[in-house]
Amino acid sequence: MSKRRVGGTTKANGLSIGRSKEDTNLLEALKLYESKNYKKSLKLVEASLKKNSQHTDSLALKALNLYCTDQKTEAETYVQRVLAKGSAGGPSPIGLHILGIYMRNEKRYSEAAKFFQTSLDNGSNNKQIYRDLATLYAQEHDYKNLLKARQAYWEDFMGYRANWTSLAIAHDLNGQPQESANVLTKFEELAKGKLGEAELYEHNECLMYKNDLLFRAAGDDHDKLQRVFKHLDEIEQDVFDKYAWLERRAALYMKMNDKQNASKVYRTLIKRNPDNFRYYRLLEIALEVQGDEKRRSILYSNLERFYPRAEPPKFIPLTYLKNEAEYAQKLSAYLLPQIERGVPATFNNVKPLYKKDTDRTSRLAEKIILDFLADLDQTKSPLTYVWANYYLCQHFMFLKDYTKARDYIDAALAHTPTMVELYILKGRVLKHAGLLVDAAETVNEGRELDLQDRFINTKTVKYYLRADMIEKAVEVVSIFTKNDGSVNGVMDLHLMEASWFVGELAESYYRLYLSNKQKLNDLKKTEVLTEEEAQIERSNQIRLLTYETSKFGGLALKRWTAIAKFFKQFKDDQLDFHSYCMRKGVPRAYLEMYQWGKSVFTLPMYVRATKGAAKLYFGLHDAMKLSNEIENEEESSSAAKKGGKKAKKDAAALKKRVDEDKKSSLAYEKDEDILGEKLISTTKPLQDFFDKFYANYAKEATDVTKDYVLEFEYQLRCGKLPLCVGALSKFADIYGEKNSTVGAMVLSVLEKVKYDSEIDEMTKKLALKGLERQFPSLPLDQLNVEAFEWLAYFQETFETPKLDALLLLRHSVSQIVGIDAIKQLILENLGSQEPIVQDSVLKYELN
Amino acid sequence: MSKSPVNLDNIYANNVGTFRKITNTVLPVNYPEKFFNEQFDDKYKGTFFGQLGYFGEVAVGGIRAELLANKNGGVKPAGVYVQVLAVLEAYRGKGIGSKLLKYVEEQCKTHFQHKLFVHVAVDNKEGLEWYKGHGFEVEGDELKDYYKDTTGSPDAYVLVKQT
Repeated sequence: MSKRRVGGTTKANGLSIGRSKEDTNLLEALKLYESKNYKKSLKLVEASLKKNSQHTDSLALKALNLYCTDQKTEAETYVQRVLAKGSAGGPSPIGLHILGIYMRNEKRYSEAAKFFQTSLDNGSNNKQIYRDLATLYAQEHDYKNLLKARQAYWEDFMGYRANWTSLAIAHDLNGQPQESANVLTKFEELAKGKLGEAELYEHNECLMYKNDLLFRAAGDDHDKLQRVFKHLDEIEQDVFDKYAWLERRAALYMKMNDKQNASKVYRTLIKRNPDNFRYYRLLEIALEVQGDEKRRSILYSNLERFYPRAEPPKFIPLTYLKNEAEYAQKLSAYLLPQIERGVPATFNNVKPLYKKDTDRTSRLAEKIILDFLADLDQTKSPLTYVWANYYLCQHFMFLKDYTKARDYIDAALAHTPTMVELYILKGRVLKHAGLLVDAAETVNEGRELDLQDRFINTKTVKYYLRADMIEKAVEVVSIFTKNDGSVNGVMDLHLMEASWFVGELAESYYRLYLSNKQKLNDLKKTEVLTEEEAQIERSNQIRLLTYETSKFGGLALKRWTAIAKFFKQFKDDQLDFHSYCMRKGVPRAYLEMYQWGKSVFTLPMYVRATKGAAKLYFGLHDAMKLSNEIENEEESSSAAKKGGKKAKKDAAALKKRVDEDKKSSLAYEKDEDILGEKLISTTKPLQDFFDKFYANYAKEATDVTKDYVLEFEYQLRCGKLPLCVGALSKFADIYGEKNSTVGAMVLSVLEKVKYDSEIDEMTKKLALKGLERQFPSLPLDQLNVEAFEWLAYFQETFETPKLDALLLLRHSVSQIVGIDAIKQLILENLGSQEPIVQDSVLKYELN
Repeated sequence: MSKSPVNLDNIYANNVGTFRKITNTVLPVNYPEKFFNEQFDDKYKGTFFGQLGYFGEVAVGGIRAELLANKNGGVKPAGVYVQVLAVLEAYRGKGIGSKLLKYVEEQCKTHFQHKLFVHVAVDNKEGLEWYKGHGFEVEGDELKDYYKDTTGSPDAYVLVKQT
């Protein structure tokens, strides 16, 4: 984070004229702070405080200096002392500014904004604060105040284009595109004829941005659209982004219902970039041929002649052709040249067609490739033979015929064992067949062909992690990382925010956590033998497994938390761009980033980490609940405590092991909880989950993107049944009321209503009311009838249960429907799942 | 476009795995790990000539030869000895082997050597024909039990080509 100057504060500024000694010293100390002489600055402030320990501004600066010299806890105590003073005798405008900077460094942006604002309100005439204030409001998405701050700053510094652009954007964000455009126009008038070569790019971006604004402001008003058109024509010479210019032109024609001219522009765009699928689709709309197969086909056969090397004209007809013979012919004309050229992505190119019409596409494609392979002269084109086999392997993998997929990839490998793609594909086949270790070894074999290839290196790492061979994975990944200061690349990959690696690592740790926990439970259940030696051995084993379980669980949480930190960092990193993008004059790119920044915590990797962490935290919560009910049977046989020499030796061995584990899992410098022991030993798992993961997600997820199952499971454990019912009805709106997951949710709520004594009656009633409204036919009157078969009801009322629904039942229902009955249903369902799913459910869910 | 798809390139420490793969796939003899790494040892700098042969972008063949300097009247005759020459079966007859051999012959010239040796297993008919077609002649009797760790015949002929 850049430490911006407390610019200009040193000039006369809100301080009384008869300055005290402390105030003079403060200004001196501020100068030192600004030149990053934190230690000297600190000394000076401390000298002041010795004389007058109540000088608040000095206290504030002391805090800031302490913060900058890495004494954050002490800094916070001084800040608290300042804040305790209240308004009387509180900090001067300078002090408030200092506190604002402190808060910004602490990433408490709204508080920072508050201090900056108060500093200005209390008479600071340091106008620079407005700029910092504006960036803070921008970061907090507080548009109203953003506009005010931008305006204030602009009024004082009109000589910079950046300030005009910033003001325009602030207007725009407040839903005032016309005002925004006016600001830009005013600047253009002022700058007319004075722009140098270096400013032309910025100028072009601002012009195009203005056109965006006008276009948005125009709506469907024909006259206004005409004016936008005129503006677009005027700026043509000055705009560098020709694609945007042409796209806007076409959009304008479309809006004014001049489709013929629009189609001409789209043709121009296609000419410029014949590989952009979007332009073809838009051209179809402009030509109004979408529903007309015949005219579409004429269009595309013409386009194909014009652009013989372009992909879309060949592919798009495959998405609508109905006649099978014609389709087969086109498919063949699409596939075979790619196979002959050796395009590795051939299968992926047609995968959408497989998904759309699995039967027709797979049937025809299979015949096309098999016939082609039968006629192929292998000696003449050996590589084509390999690619055809490669394709067929993927084809059968898509159809889940893993035996055949394996035959084809083996044939290709026997033919050309030096192609790395083949190893990756074989690894994938093995993975789907549930052979994770073999898969990893296979990909590693491919990696050994060329150690320089980072792609295969990372693939290998991922496969090793999937097989839970963490040591091997870390060893391989460390080939490419910076390893100074650490025994392996784990720390570097955290620094590089490599969430793919950290996420896979977390999931692997989680699996090891589950299997060790299982082993531990099994061992605890075994009978305690009478011989002393056996007892010692047993308690030793237990101690070791306890350690391993907690270590793996702790590390899983540690890694997932690291991912949450990466995303928090993405969010914070935006702060500098609120002023940087203005200076660079890229309003369009800025706004794009700004919109993206609104939903950072709903990006797939964050969601994946959140869901992973949810599983572990929910598990902890459920176990805690269970152990409250059953008396905690802590067993410690007398022999375990004695044991003498051997026990000492074992303890030493364990300690050595812990040290080694710490060394190899170190992720941050100066970390105090390397193995995540603090994380895993939490007593408030739900709260932790909310604070570290879920709060951010829930804030940013919209009604459409939200994962209602996760929301449901979380609220269920919080005992907030009405919120569960809310999530459940939202889910039902999207997936239908008969969806089996909906059924599982209903049963989960009923179970809580009936058996959870910690939830109060009022909440239960509310939940039942909600359920009644959503499902009028739900036999709630049967809730107190013991003989009622809820499972039968579930099976009759809802669709055939999907695996997800059954697993949800397994996690949240145990009495209203018996555990064994659910288990049985899961086992039946597994028959239709692919091996890898079967394995993981059997191993991690049914124990 | 009319460029030949066959190309040669050096063997590097990073992609020696490719060379190993080709060798172990084509030849019945099992070479130890050490064999493949010694060519990157500075101690032997300049005594090994290795190349990979590519068809298109894919490595499908390889050669490695050793320069035998006859120092102080050693037992081995001076010359260049081809340790490995292998091309994947599906890619034979495309001139890859010839190109690899030509590379080593050029190395002979630059190092002022006139003799190129090779051992060929007696049951490797295809190999024998190929070498004879490329100007090699059998020298002396067959060596009994020359190959130790092999799934093919342990006996070998010595072939020589004067360059």
